[in-house]
Amino acid sequence: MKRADKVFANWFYGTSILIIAALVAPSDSQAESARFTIIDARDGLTPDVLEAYSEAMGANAKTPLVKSRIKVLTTARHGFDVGAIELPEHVRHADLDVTLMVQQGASAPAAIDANHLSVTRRAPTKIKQTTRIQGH
Amino acid sequence: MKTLQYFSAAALAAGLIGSFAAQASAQNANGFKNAMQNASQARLNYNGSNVLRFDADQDLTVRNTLVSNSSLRANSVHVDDSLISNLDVDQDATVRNSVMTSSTVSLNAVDMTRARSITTDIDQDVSVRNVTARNASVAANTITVR
Repeated sequence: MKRADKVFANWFYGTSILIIAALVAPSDSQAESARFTIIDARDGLTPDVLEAYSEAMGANAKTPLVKSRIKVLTTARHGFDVGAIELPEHVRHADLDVTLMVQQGASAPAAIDANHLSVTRRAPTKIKQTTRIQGH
Repeated sequence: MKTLQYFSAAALAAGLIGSFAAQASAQNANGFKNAMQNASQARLNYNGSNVLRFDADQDLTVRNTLVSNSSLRANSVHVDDSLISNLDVDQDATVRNSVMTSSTVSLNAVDMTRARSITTDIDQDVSVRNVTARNASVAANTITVR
C-alpha cells in the first residue's frame, strides 16, 4: 500500500469513528429532555398513584438532573395530599412542573399537597418548581 | 385504578393531555370546594452542612378555584440549619377568578431558621385578580429570618 493510501485510510477510519461517536452520543438537548407523566387520581391516592407520582418527581432518579412534567387529574373529594418527596443526594438540579386539574366532586374537602420537596444533607444546587391548580 | 403509564414522547403526551382536558371540561363543573396546603414547597435541612450555591425558582398559578374552610400555602422555601454562600430565591404567584372564604392563604414565603448566607437574593411577585375573600387571611411575600 502506498504511503498516500495509508494516510487516507487512517484519515478515513478516524473520521468515521468520530462521526459514529457523535451520532451515538446524546446531545445536550436529548440529555435534558423532560419526562412526561399523566396520572389519573380520580379514584384517590392508590398505591399505584403514589408510586407513579414519586417516580415522576424523581424519588428514584439515577441522574443528577430531574426534569419532569406531571399532569394530575383528580377530584375535590379526593384531593391530592401526597406530601413531601425526598430527592436522592446525587440529584443536583430538579425542574418540576405539576399541573393539577381538579374536577368538581362531593362537598367533602380534601387537601392538596403537591410539588413538595424535602432535601437533606447534600441538596441540589437548583430547584425549579411550577405548580398549576385549575378547577374545572 | 386508572393510572396511566408513562410516555416519554412529547407528542403523544400532548395528545393525551388534550383528551384529558376535553374530558375534564365535559364535566361542566364551574367550581369546587377544596383544601390546599403546601402546593409548591421546597424544604431544605442540611443538618449543619455547608452549601456553596442554591437557586430556588417557584411559580404558582391558581385559576377557577374555591378555597373554603381550609388553607392554601404555596411557593415556600424553608432553609433550616445551614450555611449557603449564594442563596437565590425567585417566587411568582398568580391567582385568578377564585373565591376564598374562612381560609388562610400564604403565598411566596421564605423562612430561614438557623441559616446563614453570604449573598442572598430573594425576588417575590404576587398577582391577584378577580378574587373574592371573605373572613380570609391572606399573606403574601413574607421573609422570615430567625
